[in-house]
Amino acid sequence: MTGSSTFEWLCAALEARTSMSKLEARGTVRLVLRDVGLDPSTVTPRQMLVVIERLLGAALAKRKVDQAAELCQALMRELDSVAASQTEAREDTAYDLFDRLESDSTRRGRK
Amino acid sequence: MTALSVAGLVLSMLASLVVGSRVLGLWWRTRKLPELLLAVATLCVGFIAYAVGTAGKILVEGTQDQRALFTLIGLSVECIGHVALVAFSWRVFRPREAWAGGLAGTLTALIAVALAGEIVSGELLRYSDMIPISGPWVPFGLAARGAAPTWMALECFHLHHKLRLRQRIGLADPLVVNRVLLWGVAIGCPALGFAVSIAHRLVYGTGLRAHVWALSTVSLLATTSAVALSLAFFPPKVYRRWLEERPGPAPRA
Repeated sequence: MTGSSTFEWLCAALEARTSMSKLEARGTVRLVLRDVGLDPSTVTPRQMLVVIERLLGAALAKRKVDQAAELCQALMRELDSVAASQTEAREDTAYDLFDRLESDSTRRGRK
Repeated sequence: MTALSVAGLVLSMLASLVVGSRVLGLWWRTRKLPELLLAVATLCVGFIAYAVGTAGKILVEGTQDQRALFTLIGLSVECIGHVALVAFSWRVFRPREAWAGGLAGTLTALIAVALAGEIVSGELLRYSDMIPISGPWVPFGLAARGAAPTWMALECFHLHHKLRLRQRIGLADPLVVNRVLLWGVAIGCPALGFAVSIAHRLVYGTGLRAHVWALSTVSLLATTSAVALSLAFFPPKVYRRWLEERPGPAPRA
């Protein structure tokens, strides 16, 4: 599952399981991602799991979605299993690069 | 004061040499393009170009041809470094965006045109003597080359802002978030140095060496850059602990 397909998957799931339209579902997810500095085109399943767990419930409740917490739990379980079954190579991001830009000696002292 | 200013520039050169070499070593292990581009940029702009350019000013008191040769080599190396920096900003921060590819191509072309203009007009020698400039090529060249660190610094600050937001929900390591900011500062300082240099050329026509205040300003920027670069690559234990223990950004309500 790629970054963009994670976003598409979540939007499609919300559209199918709530009364939100396609536009509302995509807008809701986009706003939640923007609030935590994530980009829909690069968000990974692992990042999306954290977003669903910590932020999506409140955003859905604000939009009067019934049983938002239960829905988020179900989405997390599904995303977890979908992500686990995918073996695509992950894209090297700017964050990954800056994570590597450290002297070996200080990195060893940290781990 | 002049000695202190020179010390700041030497410190910056040493930091660039050490960090650039270590990033090159990192590339040797990872074989990833961003590491190579950053190593080339850091070594070429921060160390080799300075060293050759300074040699042109200090060591060669002989013919104009010798001075021109040293200056040409130094400036060409600097251009290679800035093109590497432009490619780095494009590939690392905006690999999927067409406008970024266009901007990278445009800046590369501007850097090449500026270098050609400086050589053909003979204004190249104004970097190694104290004669005022007599055309637009030197300020144009400084602006074209200065755009490279400016772009990267802006991208670093933008990424830092996004990573601070991610840090709120535990999706970014505070040390990496701070490292992005430090690289932004380390690269942003030379960008400001270019701005000072352009302003000085436009007002006085000569290089920064003509005024101690101008040399001191650039030296202060170079020292800040060296400290930021060193902290980014060799964060001391006490600094790492401070970053990890200080309260993170408050979650948004």
